[in-house]
Amino acid sequence: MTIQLEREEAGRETTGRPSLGGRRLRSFVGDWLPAVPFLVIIGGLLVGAAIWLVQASFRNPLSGEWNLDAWQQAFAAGPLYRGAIVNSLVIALTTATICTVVGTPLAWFIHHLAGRQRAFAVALTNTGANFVGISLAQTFVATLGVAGFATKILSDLGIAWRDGLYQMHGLVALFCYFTLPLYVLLVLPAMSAVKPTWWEAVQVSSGGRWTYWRRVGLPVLFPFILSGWVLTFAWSIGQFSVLDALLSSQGEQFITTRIGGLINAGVVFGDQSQLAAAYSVLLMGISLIALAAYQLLSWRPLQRLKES
Amino acid sequence: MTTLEDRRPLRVPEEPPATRRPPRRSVPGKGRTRNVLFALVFLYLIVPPLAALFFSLSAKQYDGLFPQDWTLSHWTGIFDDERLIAAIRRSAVLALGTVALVTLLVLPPLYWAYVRNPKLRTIMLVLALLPFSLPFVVMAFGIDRVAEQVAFLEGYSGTGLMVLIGHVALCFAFYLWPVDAAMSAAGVNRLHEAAQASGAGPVTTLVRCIIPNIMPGLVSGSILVFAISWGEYSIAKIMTRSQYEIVPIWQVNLTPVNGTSDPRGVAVMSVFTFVLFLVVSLIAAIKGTSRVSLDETHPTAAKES
Repeated sequence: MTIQLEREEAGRETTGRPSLGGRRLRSFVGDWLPAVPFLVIIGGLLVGAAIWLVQASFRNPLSGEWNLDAWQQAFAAGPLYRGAIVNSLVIALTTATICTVVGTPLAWFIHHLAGRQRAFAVALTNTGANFVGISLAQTFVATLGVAGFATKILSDLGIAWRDGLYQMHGLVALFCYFTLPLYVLLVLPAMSAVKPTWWEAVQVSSGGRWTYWRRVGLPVLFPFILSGWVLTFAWSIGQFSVLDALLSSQGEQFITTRIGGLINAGVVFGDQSQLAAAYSVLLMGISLIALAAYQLLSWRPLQRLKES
Repeated sequence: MTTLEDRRPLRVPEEPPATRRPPRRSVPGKGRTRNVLFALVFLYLIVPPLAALFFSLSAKQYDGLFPQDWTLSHWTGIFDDERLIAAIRRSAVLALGTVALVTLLVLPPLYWAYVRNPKLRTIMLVLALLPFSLPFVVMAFGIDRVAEQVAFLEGYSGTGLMVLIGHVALCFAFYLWPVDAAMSAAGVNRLHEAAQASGAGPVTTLVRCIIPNIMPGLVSGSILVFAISWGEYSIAKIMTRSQYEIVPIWQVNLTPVNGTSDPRGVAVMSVFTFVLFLVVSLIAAIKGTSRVSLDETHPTAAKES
């Protein structure tokens, strides 16, 4: 697909020039040669992988016949099928919403820090956003696991937690660890869209804090907040490693862990790759929609932000 | 506020409010709410690694809060664990290799996009969105299957090389954005023209003129790619069925549910990873305050940064 696009565009570029065929070819090669390894390895693999997954979800891996079996099975009732989809949606929606509610004021406050304080806050946020995967799962086991640091505090306070980490609320607490910093990093640049002079203007018109946020601050920030929510949602729903490390085939099921399980199941239970591909395409579809929404929501406000 | 004023009955009566009230505070965004929120989030971010640290330092059964007996043996023990040393070596080689390969693949075409072929930049930026629209586990599955069909890669399925290629395909976006921002900030076009006028070829220009000028972006991008590659689990898990034991795979293989267990050694590596990321982020933040900073180069660049 990309190669086709290149040819067309390069053709358009060169036809304008009065030149011989050979020269045109040389110019074409000159335009694209340094990019060939990149386009072949990265472009080829990513686009190829997406295409392969779509066709594999409609195709029996053994007989090669085309069917809709995997798609029917994917949405079938039961904790391993529809339940996994619902769980994934619930955890992503909850996580993204909590991050938006807590992260927006947090980003605002970080934006108003200066110098070393700000550098430290951003560094800690960066660390949190990066600290995803197995190490994070392990630290949470030590914190909220059966014999964890915070579990002890909670039980001293009279709150029974025990294996709460492996249930939905525990997993949400874990997910927020890396999605909250991520959300903050995403909306932090947007905070400069709210100008300090507007606060003065509101005060001159005898408005208070509430009016300021209600009528000025939040409406200006709204597209950024919404796009941050969308991206945090997409990021949460695609998480695999923490869930895989914590749940290891027990407890709640999620789309991502189902994909991992189905791929591994192939060794023992026959090739399940069609169903795995169907779940992959489902996840891909959700993420693509989220990403498109993000682009759509944030493009115009971002341009405006750059201009100001 | 009223209680505060009630306590001071002798206060000089205030002047009648002027028509233009002076702002109470310059900007809303300071005060008690801020400090409480900062404290809570700071605790939330710092307690889990601390708990893992306490766990890794406890000699006996750990059941919350502070260890009863302290020991350093789990930390010193990692140097005797050959399996772990091998995993660390694999992870380090993999992460460095990813950085090197991403640099080789991304830097020349991006430079070329600036000085010769702007359409290339559009294509690269569109491709950079793909790893975001495809969750890593999905991507790993797809890349693995596509690689099986490519004759050139036959026989490499499930090896470290495939994991490396997978990491490259997933990480390059995190390199592309900061470097792209640094290039447009440095005015690559003018640099290129000046170098060409002085008789330098494209390779010389890139190495001796462009690269020194975009160093902050290169450093940010490389650090990000290294960190992501170091912590990435799903690619190696899906592609090699956990056979290629890098640090995250080792951590999972040694958790109690998976038979042979060394939970405290695992905690040691978790704490180590956190500290590694914190140090790297601090360096990036301090360097970045003057020039390009990670959080402001591109809205989506922060996605995993």
